[in-house]
Amino acid sequence: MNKSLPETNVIREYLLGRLDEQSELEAEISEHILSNDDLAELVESVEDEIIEEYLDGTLNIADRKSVEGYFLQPPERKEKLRFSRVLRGYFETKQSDSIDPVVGHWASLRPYYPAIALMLVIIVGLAYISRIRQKEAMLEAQLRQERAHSEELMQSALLPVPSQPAVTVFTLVLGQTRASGTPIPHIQIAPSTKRIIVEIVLNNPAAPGSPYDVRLESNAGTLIWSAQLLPIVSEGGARFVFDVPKEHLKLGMYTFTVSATHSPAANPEKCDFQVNVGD
Amino acid sequence: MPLTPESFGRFLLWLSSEEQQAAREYLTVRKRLVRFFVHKGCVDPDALFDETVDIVVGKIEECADCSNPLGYCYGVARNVWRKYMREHKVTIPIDIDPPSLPPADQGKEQELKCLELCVGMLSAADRDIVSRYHQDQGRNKIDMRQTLASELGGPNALRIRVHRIRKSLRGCVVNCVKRSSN
Repeated sequence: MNKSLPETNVIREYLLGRLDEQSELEAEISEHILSNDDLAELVESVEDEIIEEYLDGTLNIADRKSVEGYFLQPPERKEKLRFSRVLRGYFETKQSDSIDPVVGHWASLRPYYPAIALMLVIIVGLAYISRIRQKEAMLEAQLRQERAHSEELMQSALLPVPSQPAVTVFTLVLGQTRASGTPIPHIQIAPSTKRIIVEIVLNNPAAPGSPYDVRLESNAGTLIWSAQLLPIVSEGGARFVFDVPKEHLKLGMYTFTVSATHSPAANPEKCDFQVNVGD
Repeated sequence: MPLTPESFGRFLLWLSSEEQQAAREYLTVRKRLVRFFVHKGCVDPDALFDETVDIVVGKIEECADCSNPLGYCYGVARNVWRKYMREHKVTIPIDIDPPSLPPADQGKEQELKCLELCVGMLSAADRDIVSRYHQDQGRNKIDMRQTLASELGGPNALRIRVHRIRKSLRGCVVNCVKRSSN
């Protein structure tokens, strides 16, 4: 902005008619406006501001007197005042909605960006801690499984008659389906089985820490069980290890469906297996 | 007193002997002098402009070779304004309560429709600015405007930017309402 332009507070006094008695300054500004379009535009913008303050009710008594008794006399300014009221009403109504579904919404959140950033950091941090805890829980589950297995071995060594295993463990590979033509694993579940532990090998693991939806469905497509799991990633690959409640598995064909929650568009992977019940 | 066709013709000829140039000159003189009378808080700036032209037409013989018609007209306009000031020196009593404005005019549905349309035609950046400018109340509003001013390079830059957006919206709405009423 040109430095020779008068200060806005002087323009304001001019527009409120307070320089009319100071003929030299008033004439200087009037002539300057006549010949300088930049100043004329600035003056109009100060007019808008006076109208805004008038509508806000933030003018002092002297200024309000000048606005009502001088500034608002020309019809052009009355029209400006009227339009300002329409505009304010419009945006006040629109404030709760979004003017532009994308721009308006995000723009309205702009004052909260620092708080949003802080919340994101907290959420990411919590997710990281949760992932570590889940891994710990899985490792503990595996350890318990190993202990249980050791106990069974001990018991079988001590008992003269071999007993039925209390834990059934089976491994599935994603992609092993009837449709693919590969042989389907047959799982034998004894009446004495108390726990069923499933291991599913994941062929193409996503980035570490990305959870998956794992669903167990019957042959008829009925959802039996589901969980959101994190794969255990090691040098040998990635796999899920988890318990399935025994009562869910009866004689028949079943399918596990695994889909990445971070990539809903990706095709889920499946594996089929046959359950046989009996000794 | 309305300007007669004869006076108007003489005035145009004085501005320029070339018809189109005279029309352009006339519009410039009119715009600037009406704006002057608006700035001076006059009740009827158009009538004061006509009065100015009337006086100028009466003196055309004296200033036939005038090199700056706008400057000459402005000088006359200042005298018209001073006369107006003397005649309209009134004190308007005010109410000390906050301004109580009449409710928005009825039948403004079309204007609001046009406003919606015109806001939609703004650039995304302008729409964002004008929306945020009118956002909130009280302290939050002041804070928002300070934020906008710092984003745009200062209070003057914000003032001018919002003024341009409002002006463009006003023009757009006026045209839209006119078109819809035809």
